[in-house]
Amino acid sequence: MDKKYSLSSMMYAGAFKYNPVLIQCVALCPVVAATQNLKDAFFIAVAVFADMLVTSFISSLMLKKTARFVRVAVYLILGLILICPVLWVIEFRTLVNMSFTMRVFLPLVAINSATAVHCETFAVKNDVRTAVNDSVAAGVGIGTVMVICGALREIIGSGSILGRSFNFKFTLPGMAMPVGCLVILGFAAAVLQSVTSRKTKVKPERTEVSAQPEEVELDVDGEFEPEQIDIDLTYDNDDEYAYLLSSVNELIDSFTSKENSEEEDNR
Amino acid sequence: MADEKNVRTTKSTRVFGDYLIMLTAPCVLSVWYNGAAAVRTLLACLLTAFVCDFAAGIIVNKQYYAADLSGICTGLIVALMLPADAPVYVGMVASSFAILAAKIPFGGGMRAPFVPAAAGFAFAAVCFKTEVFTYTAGRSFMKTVSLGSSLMSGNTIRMTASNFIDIITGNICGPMGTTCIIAMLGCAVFMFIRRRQSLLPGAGFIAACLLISLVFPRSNGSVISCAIMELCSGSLLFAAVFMLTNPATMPVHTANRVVYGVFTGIVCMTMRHLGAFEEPICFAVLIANAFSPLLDMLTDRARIILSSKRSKREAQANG
Repeated sequence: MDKKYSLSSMMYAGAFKYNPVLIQCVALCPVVAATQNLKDAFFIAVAVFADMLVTSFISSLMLKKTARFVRVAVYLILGLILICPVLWVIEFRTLVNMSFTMRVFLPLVAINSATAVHCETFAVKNDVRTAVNDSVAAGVGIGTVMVICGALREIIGSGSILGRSFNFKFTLPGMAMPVGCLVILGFAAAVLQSVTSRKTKVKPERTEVSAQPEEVELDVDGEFEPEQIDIDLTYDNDDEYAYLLSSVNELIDSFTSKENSEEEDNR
Repeated sequence: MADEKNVRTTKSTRVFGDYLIMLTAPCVLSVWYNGAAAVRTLLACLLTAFVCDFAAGIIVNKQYYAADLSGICTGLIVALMLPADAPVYVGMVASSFAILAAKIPFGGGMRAPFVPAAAGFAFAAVCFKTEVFTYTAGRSFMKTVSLGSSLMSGNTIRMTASNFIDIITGNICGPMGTTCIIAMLGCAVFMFIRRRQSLLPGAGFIAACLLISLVFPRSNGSVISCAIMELCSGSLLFAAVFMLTNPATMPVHTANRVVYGVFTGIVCMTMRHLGAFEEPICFAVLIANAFSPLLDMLTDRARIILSSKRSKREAQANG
């Protein structure tokens, strides 16, 4: 699996085109629940970034030969080992006042799905440098979305940013609630899809259509056998940015093949 | 493709045209009772809904059809559920949320999985709870206290003939276009003539609400007067006629429509008893909308299983 990916292409794919939050829909819980304001969003983004970086590095370096069920547990333990001291330092050794949501969700960052997905689909199948690049790209993607959501929710929901009030005539407190974040994420995903589809739009080749349709003989008496069509549902092989989708597909294939073999054994 | 679009537009025109005709009565009554304040709120919501619909059509490269009346209907429904003296921005925010977040992203009024007006009003209720549920425009009966807030505080009224007439003619405090029971009954009769199948959710909804209000009255007075107050308060009947009859969100199977209505009624009455809002009908409608496709899916699966069992039994009987 070890392939060479350029850092720029990985940054474009991981942070933008296949953004973990907006396109892959992972790590939605911390984004929705803990980005009520810019300060909280920034701290959560930094925690997610650090967690992904360290976990990807260690999993790529040491966990390639380990069984999957052990690996997933190790990701969680690594996340906790990293997050808990950070939490302790922030709470007792700095002057940063943590909000209630941040107190609840910062420890939960250790078990967010984005880390497990990226480690399992990419880090354990590639060399350390590529895995770190991938985790940086994904971390930047998640962090950017968190910061944007936090800023927008604070401005629209409470009419202020980092405590500075804008003196709006009215604010929309509904946007500071999880429903508001989901609306923002929906619009952000639509904008991202629109931008990426415009960038990668390929004009379809025009084909000449015959005026008369071809006559087809129907074999009414015989059994109907549908034509076998090979549909490649995975990804375009030339698209080097699609490595994430290929990894996810491989993961799903491995699970399904395992289930099939178990079913056969049972029979 | 063009034919499909035309068919959809024609259907939308027919469905929402009916709604527009029905909405005329509450609009006229709200202007009759509240004067210029009602006109201001109605115009603000209507224009906001139209502008948002038109602008969103340009942004998503979709041609705006004037015959698609869903946006205008949404604006009017949102306006009629607000108090007449609500600030203009409340109606504008509710209408724009209904169009931009609940209608356009899902492909239009005939495809939206949630009733856009319910989503808009729910958002306004969450953002501006005080403005949405405070009725300062006094009426001859009960001054500035609505039936809903009276029930919330456990109070009841003595149901005399004059009180009853005030209640059914809408001469009470409440949302500006939903309090007149006679107008709502007229709209229901019109709906019965035009699309009687669509009234099934509303019938189930009212039956469930009536039953729950009889069994669990919210005030210590007469059970009957409490039940009448429950049915006539807030936007309960209005939602039964204008929200639960939305063809895009109600289940396809006839029996499921009744179940859908009963479920909405149970959720609504539970929220009225336990919730923080005076009128939680929009939240109940949104929750029921989420379960509507599930009802159809379960029915389809049950039918497939039953038909396969029947065919197996027939095959066994035939040897």
